[in-house]
Amino acid sequence: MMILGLFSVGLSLVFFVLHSLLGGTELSASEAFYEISFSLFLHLLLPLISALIGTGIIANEVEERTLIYLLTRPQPKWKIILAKTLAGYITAGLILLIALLATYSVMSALAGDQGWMTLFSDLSRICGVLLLGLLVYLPLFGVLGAFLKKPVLAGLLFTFGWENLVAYIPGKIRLFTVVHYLHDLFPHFRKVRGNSETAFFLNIFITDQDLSTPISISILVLLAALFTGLLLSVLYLREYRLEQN
Amino acid sequence: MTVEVKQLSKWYGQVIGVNHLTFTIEPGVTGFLGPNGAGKTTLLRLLTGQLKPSQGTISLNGEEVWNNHRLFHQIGYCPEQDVFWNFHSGWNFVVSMLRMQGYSREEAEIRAEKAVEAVGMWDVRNNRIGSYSKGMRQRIKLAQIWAHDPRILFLDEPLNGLDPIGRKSAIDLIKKMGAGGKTVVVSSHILHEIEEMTDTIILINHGRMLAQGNIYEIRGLIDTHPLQVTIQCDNVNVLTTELLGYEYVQSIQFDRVQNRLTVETNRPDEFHLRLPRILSENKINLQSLWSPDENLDAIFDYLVR
Repeated sequence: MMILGLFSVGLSLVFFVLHSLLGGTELSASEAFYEISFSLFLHLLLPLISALIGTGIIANEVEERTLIYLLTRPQPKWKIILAKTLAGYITAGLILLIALLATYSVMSALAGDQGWMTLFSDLSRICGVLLLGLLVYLPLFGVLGAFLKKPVLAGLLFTFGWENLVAYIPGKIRLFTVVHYLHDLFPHFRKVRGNSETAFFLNIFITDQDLSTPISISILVLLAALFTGLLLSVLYLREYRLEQN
Repeated sequence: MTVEVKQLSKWYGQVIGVNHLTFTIEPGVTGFLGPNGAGKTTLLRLLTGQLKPSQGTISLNGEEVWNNHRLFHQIGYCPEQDVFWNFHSGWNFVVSMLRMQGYSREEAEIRAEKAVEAVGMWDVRNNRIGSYSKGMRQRIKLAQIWAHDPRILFLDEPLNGLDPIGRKSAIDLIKKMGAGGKTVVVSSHILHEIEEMTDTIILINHGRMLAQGNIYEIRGLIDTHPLQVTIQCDNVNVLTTELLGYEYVQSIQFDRVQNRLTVETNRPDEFHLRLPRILSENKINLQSLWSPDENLDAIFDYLVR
């Protein structure tokens, strides 16, 4: 997973160098960082890392059959899952934030126009969006992992098949994606509408159904609560046979 | 601590795991005996609240087991499966299990020390579990169940993979716990293993309970089945001739070299009553007499056929 984080830094560099070589308009550190954090972090790394970690919250214990030990302790089942979810959240959050900070510092150094503090508010807002997204994705993938036999595959299909494709389809169907609500919270998402290069990419995601920031946050929090509740009740709802040797 | 099972059934779709089981287990060692696939593990998983009964009830000292995590302060469970978090060392595994039992780190370490020492794993306690042999893994699994001093222990095939010394110490420990007033439930498909630990058994096959009780009481249940008796004496020819005249003798196998004959009788009581008279009337010196099938193997074979 850390490799994925490092990969993002490398990819940012490649993107930046290619952009310069192909003679694109001069890209400021903020623009480059903004595009990378939007396309790479929000649309790829966030759901991907969430899928890899989230699907394993219960599925790994079932697959390894170590769930036996967890279920025969004097701890309520919800507490066991909550502890595992928190651990997953911290791990995934750290990977994303470290990779994001590394990417930002690389981009900032290459562009040479702005220091760390200049775009600190954007950076912290992006961090907030990613952590909020994680709060929804992680239990969502946890639930998938609890009920499906090939949870990672299902998680990847959901990431690339649903979240990243349906978000492109015009109309109301995109309201059923998590990423749709995260778009609204992204810094400058509305501001860039109609703006040349960056806007060309970002405008793909803009629809007439865009919601205000408080509504988007409320929906995301509700979704997080719903999926977390579902995840916490999984061990009460279903039993695991755990195949023998 | 008493285990009470009433009309317990568990099925998965069309497959029956256990079927209409009713029994009570009192403190001491009780053996679940049955071939592989008999339903022993399913039963143990039901008894430890990992599975929800499809029908019937299970209670430990009057408390329902399913979704009752508080009971696990008093329960120790050793699974049959050879499963661990392999990144753990043996020591970390036992301490983690104790921490999950609710002990402070300090208390967990004190208890882990005793348990790990008791199973002879002290010297290798800091090695990763992934590097342990199967016997060592089994021993560390046993350490984690008695480390928190439970009142009732469920051990699923606990002697799997243990070497003779490990087996002996595990058997001694199990017997000691049973004698100390704990309720110990041991499952095995190997008859002599159970026989070494207890004479209180529950015979299970195809998810059904075939018999429960003392081995000798269970033997009584199958009196109609033929019993084999092997006799070694100084005149097998005469004894064979005499025995052939009795209607309750079904067959005789003859071994002249060893001066031995094996008699199969469908009325063991009658046979044992008459045999001394036959021997004395024909002046036959008895050298030895034993019943090769008066052990659990034979009883089990009779009952599951």
